[in-house]
Amino acid sequence: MLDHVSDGPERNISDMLAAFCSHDDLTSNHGFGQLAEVTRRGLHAYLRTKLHSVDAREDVVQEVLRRIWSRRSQFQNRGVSAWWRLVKQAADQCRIDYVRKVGAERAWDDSETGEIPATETVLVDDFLDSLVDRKTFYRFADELWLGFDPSLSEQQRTRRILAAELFYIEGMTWDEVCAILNRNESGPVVSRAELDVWLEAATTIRSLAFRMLYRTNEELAGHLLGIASASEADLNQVTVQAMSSDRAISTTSAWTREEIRVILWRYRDAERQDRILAHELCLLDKSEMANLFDRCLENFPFVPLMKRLCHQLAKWPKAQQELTDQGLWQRLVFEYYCRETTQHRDIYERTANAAELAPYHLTMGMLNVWLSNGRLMAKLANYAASHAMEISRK
Amino acid sequence: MNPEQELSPESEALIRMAVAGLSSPVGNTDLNVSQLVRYLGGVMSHREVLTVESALVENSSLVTRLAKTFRTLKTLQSQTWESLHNGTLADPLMEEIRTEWIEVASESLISRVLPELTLANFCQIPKDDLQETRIAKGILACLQSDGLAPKRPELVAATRTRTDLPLLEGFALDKLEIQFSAEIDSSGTLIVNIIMPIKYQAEGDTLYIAFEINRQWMGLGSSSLQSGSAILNLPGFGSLVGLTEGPLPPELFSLRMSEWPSVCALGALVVQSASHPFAEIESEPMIENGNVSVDIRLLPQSDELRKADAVELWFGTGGQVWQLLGCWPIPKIRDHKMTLTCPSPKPGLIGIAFPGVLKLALRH
Repeated sequence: MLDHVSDGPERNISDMLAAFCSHDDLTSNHGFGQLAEVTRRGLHAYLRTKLHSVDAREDVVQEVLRRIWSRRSQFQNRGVSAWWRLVKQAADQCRIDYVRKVGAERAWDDSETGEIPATETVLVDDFLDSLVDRKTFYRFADELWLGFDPSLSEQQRTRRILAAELFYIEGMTWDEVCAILNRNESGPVVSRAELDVWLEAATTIRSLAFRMLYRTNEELAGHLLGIASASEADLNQVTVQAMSSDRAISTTSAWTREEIRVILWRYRDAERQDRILAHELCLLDKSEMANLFDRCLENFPFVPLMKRLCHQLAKWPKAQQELTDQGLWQRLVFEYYCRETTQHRDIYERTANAAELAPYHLTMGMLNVWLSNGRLMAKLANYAASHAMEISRK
Repeated sequence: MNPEQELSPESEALIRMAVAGLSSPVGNTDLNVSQLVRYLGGVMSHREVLTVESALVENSSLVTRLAKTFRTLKTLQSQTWESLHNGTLADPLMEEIRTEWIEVASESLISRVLPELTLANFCQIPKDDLQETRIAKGILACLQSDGLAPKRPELVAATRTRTDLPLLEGFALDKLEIQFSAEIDSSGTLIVNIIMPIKYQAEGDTLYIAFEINRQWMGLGSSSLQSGSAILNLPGFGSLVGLTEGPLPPELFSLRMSEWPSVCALGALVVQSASHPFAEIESEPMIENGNVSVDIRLLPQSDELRKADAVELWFGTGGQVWQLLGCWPIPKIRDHKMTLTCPSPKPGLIGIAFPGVLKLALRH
């Protein structure tokens, strides 16, 4: 097993690649150690829809890293995007080899296997080169779909959203909001006039709505299981209890042990229904599972969240109007698609009923059009490219 | 670039993999009561504020907790210090807020004894003494809140030894023209050049400069007169009040001569929250025997005083936040003098002038 350990803060990937290519063994080793950590994260995310078990994914990850390291003398640094293409190619090959060797695992999703088309390399390369960290990626998404001004700093965006939450959701007065924001040494004093501009801005309302309506897989699973904090520790404890066949270990939930397992697989792990049914610990049949999912849908938090939001914004029709903006719903859909689940039906269930209250009529067809053929991702990549051009022009 | 471009599943998967691999700046996803109280108490550094506000925006339940903490603090801040200190609250969260707030508020007073409580001395607090620098800034922020600090401050100059000068008939002290200029230099020092009128050009005299707020003087500093002029240097003033290098525009403040203020006034940071002052401060606020004590004389001609039931004494905790110290009913038989005495928020300080800013207010 490779035991490259990196120490110190993570540099950007370009620097790691440069270090990996160094003739100095120590520098090269250290560079690869950092690359391995970054690559491991990406590989686990990539393989999640392709290999069922965590152990299987880890085996493939290790093999990918081993192969790249063993061929390091032939490696040429052609940039960040080229690195990821190399990793993906190695991951696809290692997964196929693993499946052939083990035999038990079926390749669930082969649609993403293979090289990227030549017509797309420039766009993809430019996009990946523009991303400093994950926050940059989601920042571009906020600018594109929520309308945030690119010149605003992270703190400026944060303060606008915080002001909106305090005013619209917590019902604080404008002077209370100003008092809170102006308490510490955190930049220019916010006046009443400036606060009004912030609160009335379309982008602030859309950002507020986005944050109110979005729930991670862990938060959704925690909500369904009645766990207040939805922390990793709490969910892991529930998982251990649910997966155990020891009836002496009781669960404290209103759901049965078998139902909890399915809820965790479906909503926390974003597993497809056919894979859940194939799971050896799944004791529900198709009909029971469908019934369970209907009950879960009735307990989803999104409609109550949207009702609360609409109620809080009712006094400000112009603000409420922003809930019907397509950009808000595309932003939500995109976030779910990138972070939580690639299943269109799952994303639809988390957004459509809430959208209807905006009112914004989101259909399965629309969602399929947005997500199919990478349209939203392409739009974002093009936006990032235009942003980079704008920067270089200045 | 084609706005309608599509991406293959392979490309999309590659992007998603790369994004998953990118580092995510580690942020705080939870906030404890201490952080919320300190944030609302206005005692956090810029970096701490960034961390707190990022966490708030990431987690809506924290904003709800912030709102509850704010409302709880508002209630606590309007209780007298004695009630605040001695009372306990049934709700565990509110009780935790109370305990944290007492600590934050009592820490907001400068612990050292300054020779004189002037801005000059505030500015000379060593920069590495972060807590005291923060307290000094907090005191200024308190004065800026409630509209207490004048928008166009009037500086007042006085010399201790010249008040007995014979004046020409019809001559008014405050009509004397004083020429002055002010600037912030590259090190953040405020430099005020003052050229005294001929009648006041007494060599060696000390010229005291102060801000006048509600008939109280907040000492700025002093300088000795040489060849009819004085130069007042306030190192650190620029950074303390957020002024950048360069000349200060003449309309920023005015300067006039005045008679020497009453003994207690110079350096006493006692302001009054009313459209017109309703009391004279007759003694320097002191901490003695674990109590804060200040003598005031009510001004019977004050309309607002007539409509009020009680006098309140507050102290500034920083970040434009005030905490009530005590409340005293206005005597029905108005002998006009009151001695306000209440437990000190910082019991460890003994026999010194109150090391912070106080505010008198009327309760209706």
